[in-house]
Amino acid sequence: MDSPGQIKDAAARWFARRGSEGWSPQDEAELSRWLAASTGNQIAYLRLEAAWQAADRLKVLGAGFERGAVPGLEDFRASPFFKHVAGKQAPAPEPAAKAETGAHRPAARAVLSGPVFRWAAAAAVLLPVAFLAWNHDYRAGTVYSTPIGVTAAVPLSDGSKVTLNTDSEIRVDVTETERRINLEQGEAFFDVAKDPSRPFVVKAGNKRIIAVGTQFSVRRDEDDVRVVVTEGAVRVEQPSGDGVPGTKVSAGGVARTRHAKLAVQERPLPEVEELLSWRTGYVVFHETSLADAVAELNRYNVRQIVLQDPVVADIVVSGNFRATNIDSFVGLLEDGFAVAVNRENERIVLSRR
Amino acid sequence: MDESLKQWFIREILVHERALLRFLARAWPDRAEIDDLCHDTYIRVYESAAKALPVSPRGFLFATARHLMADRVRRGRIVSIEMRGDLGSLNVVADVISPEQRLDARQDLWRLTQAFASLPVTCREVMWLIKVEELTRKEIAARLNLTPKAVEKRIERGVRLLEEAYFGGKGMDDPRLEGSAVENARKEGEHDHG
Repeated sequence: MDSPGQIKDAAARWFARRGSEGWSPQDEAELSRWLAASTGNQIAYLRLEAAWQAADRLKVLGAGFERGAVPGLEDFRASPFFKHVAGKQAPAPEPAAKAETGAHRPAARAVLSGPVFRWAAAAAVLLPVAFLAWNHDYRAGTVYSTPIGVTAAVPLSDGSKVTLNTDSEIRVDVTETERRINLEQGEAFFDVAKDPSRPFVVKAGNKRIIAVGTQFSVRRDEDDVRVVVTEGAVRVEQPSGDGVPGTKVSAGGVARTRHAKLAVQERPLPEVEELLSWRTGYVVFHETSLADAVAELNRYNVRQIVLQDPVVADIVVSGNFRATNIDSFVGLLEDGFAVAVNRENERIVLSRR
Repeated sequence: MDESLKQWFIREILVHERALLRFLARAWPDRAEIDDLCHDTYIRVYESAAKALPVSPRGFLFATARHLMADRVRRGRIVSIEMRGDLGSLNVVADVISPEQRLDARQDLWRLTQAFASLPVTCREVMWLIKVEELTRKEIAARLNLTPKAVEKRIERGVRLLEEAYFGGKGMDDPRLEGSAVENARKEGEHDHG
């Protein structure tokens, strides 16, 4: 029997073919037979039709754009429609301050602030799905950020995809000649679309990480970075003038900087992937001291775990933990170790029992 | 196929897909089987609704999913000590999950926009030209300098990714639910130019 994925793929083939020029009565009969063959086929097809029909409402969003210009994703997201989505208020746009790079942008702005979009923007405030804060800075790209405990995917107009870890912020500026990402704080994973004509540059403090088409993550702590590469290769550059040349880091490589020093470790890919388990909401510990484990978990939670005893801090833990579920983590410690737990409102204090 | 049944299914069942996937992912240990469970749940609900529409569609959907899982456990299709909690307690879980009430028009537009934004740029372009500018496939082929077949392929991939993102939320906010089919289609998209 076909898997659901295969059935859906087949339904999509039928659906796309049906609207093509060569579609014949024989084809129609064949489609009917395919549909009649199983309820699963019928459901797959009706689900596609429903999604396709839902897309008619894209017209509402298209209202502001000039005909003949398909908007880039940044334009699209920069519309007031999304402005208030997650609490971060964008400053009122000052037309003179905005750098105009595309002919269709003025028209877009003018019309998107019309009644329909004011209504939509007001509605957007209430949306429960709002977790990805962003803010359009008209001088230097679009800012995306996540609150504590949340990860979010950010698709870029060039086809690249960024995943933001907890409490992180990036500024995205995609131009004709360069794709520039500023990692303002925290950690992000980049799945970079191949485009040799436009290097993909991540700036984290005074370090630069340069890629063409590859997958890697950058975590920033002040000016120090940890770069994990899972596919392809990147070049890590330190500030110029200090005599340290750029260093190439390939798949399986983990580069760490401390001040002006940079160390690269080669590790098997599965191990490297574990460093990126946050993308699925987990943190992984291998014989990690409780002090380090707690520091990691505290990145994901507003309610902080506090260790009040050096003996407790030296406890060694292993395992996969859901990053935002500190209650179960603390519960396991309570059950398995000589740890006393004091649960306060803002923090959880662990001491020796 | 009965048109009113189809509309009912879209309106009352498909809108809960995200909640259903989350529910299945919590209860079922093997992530690889989630899509399969969702698909089978739909088939059962659809076939049952063809005879008589349930009074509470959402409740019926989750109850069906629960029975399906219980059947699979009983038939030994999985042997696992990881089964998350016993199935009896899942009654509670279904109600605890944030209730995704019927979407109002605004939420729905937001959802659509998010889904659209998650498509690869080549698919997005073609879909935009069809839906917003109302161009025919022929006009799109001429405009983008593509063969009719290439336009068709982009529609195929676009609508496939759109349905997963729009109904299931795949490839968007929750990487845990990202399906391999979506990823594969996305990767294919990078090689399609003509």
